[in-house]
Amino acid sequence: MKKYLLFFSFLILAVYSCKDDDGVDSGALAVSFAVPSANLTEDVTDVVISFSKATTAAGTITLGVTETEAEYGIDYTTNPTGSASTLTVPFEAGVSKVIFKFNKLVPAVEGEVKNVKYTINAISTNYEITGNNTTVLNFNETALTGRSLAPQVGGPSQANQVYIDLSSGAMTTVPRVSWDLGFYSGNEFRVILNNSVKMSVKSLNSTNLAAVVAEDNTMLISQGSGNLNQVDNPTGVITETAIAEVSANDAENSVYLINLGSNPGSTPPDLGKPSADSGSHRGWKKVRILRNGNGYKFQYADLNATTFNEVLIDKNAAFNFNFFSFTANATVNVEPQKEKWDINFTTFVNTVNMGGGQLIPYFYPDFIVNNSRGGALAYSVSTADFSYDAFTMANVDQSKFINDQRGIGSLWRGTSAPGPNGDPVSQFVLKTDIFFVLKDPAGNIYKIKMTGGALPNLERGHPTFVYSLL
Amino acid sequence: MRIKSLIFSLCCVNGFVMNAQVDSLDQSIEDTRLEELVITGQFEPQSIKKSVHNVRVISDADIKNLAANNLTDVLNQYLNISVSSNEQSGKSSASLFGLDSQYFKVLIDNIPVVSDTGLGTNVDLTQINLDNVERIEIIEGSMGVTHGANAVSGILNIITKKSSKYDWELSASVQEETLGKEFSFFDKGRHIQSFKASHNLSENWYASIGVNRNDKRGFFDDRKGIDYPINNGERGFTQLPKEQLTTNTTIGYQKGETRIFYKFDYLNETITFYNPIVVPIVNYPFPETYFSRDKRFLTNRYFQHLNYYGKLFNDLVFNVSLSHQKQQRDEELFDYHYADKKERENNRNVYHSKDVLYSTGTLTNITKSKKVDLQLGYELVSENSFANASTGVFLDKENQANGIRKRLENYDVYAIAELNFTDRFSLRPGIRYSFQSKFDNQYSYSIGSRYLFDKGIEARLSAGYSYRTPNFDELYTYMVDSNHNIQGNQDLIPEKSNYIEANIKKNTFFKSGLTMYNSISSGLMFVDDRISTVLISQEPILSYKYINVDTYKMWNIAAENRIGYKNWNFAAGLSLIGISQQLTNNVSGSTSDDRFLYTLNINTALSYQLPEYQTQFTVYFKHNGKTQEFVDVSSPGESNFVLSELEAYNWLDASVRRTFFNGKFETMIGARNLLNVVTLQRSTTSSIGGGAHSASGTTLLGVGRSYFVKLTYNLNF
Repeated sequence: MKKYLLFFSFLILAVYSCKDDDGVDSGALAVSFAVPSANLTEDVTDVVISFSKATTAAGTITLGVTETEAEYGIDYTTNPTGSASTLTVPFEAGVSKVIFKFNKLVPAVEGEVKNVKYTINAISTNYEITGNNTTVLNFNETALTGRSLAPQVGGPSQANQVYIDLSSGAMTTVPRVSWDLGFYSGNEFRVILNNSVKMSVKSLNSTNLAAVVAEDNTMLISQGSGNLNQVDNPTGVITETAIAEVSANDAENSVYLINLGSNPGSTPPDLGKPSADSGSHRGWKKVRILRNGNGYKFQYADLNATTFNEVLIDKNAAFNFNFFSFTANATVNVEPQKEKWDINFTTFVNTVNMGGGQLIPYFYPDFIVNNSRGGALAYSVSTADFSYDAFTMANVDQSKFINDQRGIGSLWRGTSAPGPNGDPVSQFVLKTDIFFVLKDPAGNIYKIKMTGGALPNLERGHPTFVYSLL
Repeated sequence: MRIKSLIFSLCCVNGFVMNAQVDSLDQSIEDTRLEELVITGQFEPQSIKKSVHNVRVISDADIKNLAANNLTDVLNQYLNISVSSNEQSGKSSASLFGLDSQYFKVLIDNIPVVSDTGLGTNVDLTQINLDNVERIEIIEGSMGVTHGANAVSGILNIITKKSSKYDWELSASVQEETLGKEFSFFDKGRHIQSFKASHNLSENWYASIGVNRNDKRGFFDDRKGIDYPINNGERGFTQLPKEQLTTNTTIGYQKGETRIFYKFDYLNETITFYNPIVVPIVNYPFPETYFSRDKRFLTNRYFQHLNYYGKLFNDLVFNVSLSHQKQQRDEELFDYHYADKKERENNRNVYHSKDVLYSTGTLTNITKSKKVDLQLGYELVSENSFANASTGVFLDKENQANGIRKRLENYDVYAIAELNFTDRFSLRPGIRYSFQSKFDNQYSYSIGSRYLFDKGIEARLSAGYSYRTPNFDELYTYMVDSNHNIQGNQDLIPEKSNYIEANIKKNTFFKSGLTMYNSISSGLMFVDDRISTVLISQEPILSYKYINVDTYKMWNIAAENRIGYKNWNFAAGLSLIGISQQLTNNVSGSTSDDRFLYTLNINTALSYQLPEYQTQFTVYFKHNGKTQEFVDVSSPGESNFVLSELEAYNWLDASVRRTFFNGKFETMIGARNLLNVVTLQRSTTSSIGGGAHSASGTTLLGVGRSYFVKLTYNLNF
């Protein structure tokens, strides 16, 4: 029996020795600039050099310097002090990053290319030089060459839309429920629905907005239900909205019944599940939209009302749309200017084929829309064809930039994984065999790699990505 | 048509054999009784010939020749049983007459053995180790009177060794086995080590212990194993790595008419699932690192059994067993980080657990008459069961995970009479009444008869009624939300089953030394109030509920033949099983076709002994015919039942065994699945259960042709 006791103790030891609660591992010992480029908007800029693991001993990093239209001591200085060709940055033991200060003395003139480029040449300890081994500090505002971003879409309920401008790294976060309709600022007279909340719309074939109207539950969008012609075309092509083009002839502008869709869930769902559309129903409105010169005259009311409100909404060429909120009873700011955003993290009503060849509306959390109306177009690349790291400008296929806002869409993730007995289980799955190429409104071309969508504990709604200018 | 001609030829073969025997009568010496003793379902151990039940025996020799470490390895070759394995977890279960392991009871020394979700039922055959086994007895058909609930399609009773003719018996063995083409001493293949010791402590006391470690590494097939951080679905294993440690301890006491034994068995099993999904961790500006959400299932089983057999007042024979058993399967979730190959965030939860207090006892020789004997028996069962919410679909009204814990009890009494009208003719009526805590009280009954003709011919006719109690999934499943509506049903009643079987067999012994055994049997079974998930409404969403609705009819005919001559032994069996099931779609009111769908199984075994070299050659072959069933693939507005067909396959095992130094050293080499059957095609896919659940078109049957070597050292003195 003793022998068994010994055996069992070994067994128990073996099982428990597997347990390990130290932090997440971060790979090999390495050093890198935190970002590959930055714009010197302030007089003093902190330049960050990161270590993959905290340093075990003090040491120094030797940087090489390449100046473009800038001269040390005249246009800029650094702290610690360096020279026109080199800069040595000391670091302590036990730190995960080290900072040197860059003092901009003489700003650039408009249109001038003026920058200082640092290269990590050596480190006194056994750290590997990887990642961003150079960083370029631009005296002028210049398109960024890449970084890592984590849009705050708001966890499993994904209550926010986050608009990203890759060239500046700017993120604009707005609640999904902050707007209902978008009035197009381009040549056409078109109105879009907020399709991040499962809205749908139906023409009542009447011009009398004062008439009392009943709710129509067949318009609700849920799994397997919903009507294709009651939602905007998911491609984002402006001529294919569910609401017909606003006619110059008022008599042709019908009253529409609008289902305002669902709120984001208010209670936390089971870990791993989204709750983007599990909130209460947002109600109903009836609307009628007329032209007002080169703008819109927007009339709206509750379904049982016999009177209605009216607001005038102009076009503003700097933006794709002017947005209106029934909650605010006013126009609201949502999208950045149309050339100041490239992609939008949002939820989305796509159309899918659920068998039988019939397309039906289907709600997607974790969706990414590219700003096709503003001129940002995207397509996907399989890692079987190119690796992300090796992908260069020469590999870009211009013919794949098509006018569809779903260039990234839901292609970056799946929602089921094979379980232990072979049956699929519901789980957020980041696809690591795909990355994306995006052309921004200014013509810059970026490669984008999604690096996450859920927390380690599986909570959804935490996307992260890296990108790099080609 | 093919089936008809097969039945025809089957009957002809038997007719031919019978005739041949008649012709050879002159030469035959008088029948010798086969004094093979059986226990299962008997008052007292008695010869298989006298048994009223038709008992089939898998002998120690069969277990040895198949190098069987667990029940799966032997049942693969059993005629009416088909073994199905979960391709991923490697769990395997038996189905008999097309009914799954919920209808079939596995016992060890007459005590039903605990499993994750059953007592005797739902047994994972790979968890039943055969190290200390004397033989296996199988009785097909309704055994509700002697063995209680869920003994519907049959029972399998494992008889363990409880004595030794030697003072000391020591044995150690090592078995190395490939998994298909995969083998290496540490990372691939199957590695078994075992040790046994038994000792007669005194004239009255006997003790034995045994340890067995069965380390089955993951079967890679086209997968890439553990350290493969690429998200293309290739990480992990086609069949999960499984490691089992079993121990068994027996202490026996025997003095005069009193026999007592105590057994303690322990099983520890670890199965590890390596998730094909690789998750990156952002570490900008450094490259991402990766981890996967893996899990392991850890099972512990304790089995204790105390048995007391003796006599009261000189004549009354009692046999009482007390047993405590517990099986707990835990699920341990963890994150496996590739960079440093470490596990983090380990989190262990109970997945399934079952704690059983069990007692059964009988009193026989009440009448003191040879002609009429009566057995009175009882069975007390108290099961405390737990199922984690993730084992099934167990949610509460707020859609939160809701584990199920229930105590189910039943207290049964039964009486069986054995009426021996003559030496030839016996009749055996019996009845059981069961007081149930959860369900209405149940009963079963049976009647069996046996007639011994001259010339070694035996005839048996039996009939019985028994029941199967609903399981947790059927009772407590609950998932109702905006997209789903699947509900268990606490008002379910046990399924009812009637079975009738007729059997004729003949043992013949020729002067030449030729021995022959021929048996033909036919059975008929009806299962009513069969529980099924039924679509009860389509609007607003598809709603499913478990209901007692379906019917199941089975008839079979089986022939078993064995011939022994000098050093040759040959066995051949053939079985045809016809199953008729009517599936009901409650919404449309339509039902599926209920015609009989037939499966043909054939098994043969051939062995040859070479005494001068102490060598034995054995070949086992089984043909598993194609199986068909109707499945409900109804979609909204249209009910549709389609025929799903799993293709036929053949299974061939072979081995050579040689002993050296008077049996002290034993070597064996062999092969399993020589015909290298890996996948089977299923002709249709089904979509049942409220959405996108589709069965794959191919079923992985096994790991393909694999080879084994076994070395054993025996020391008896």
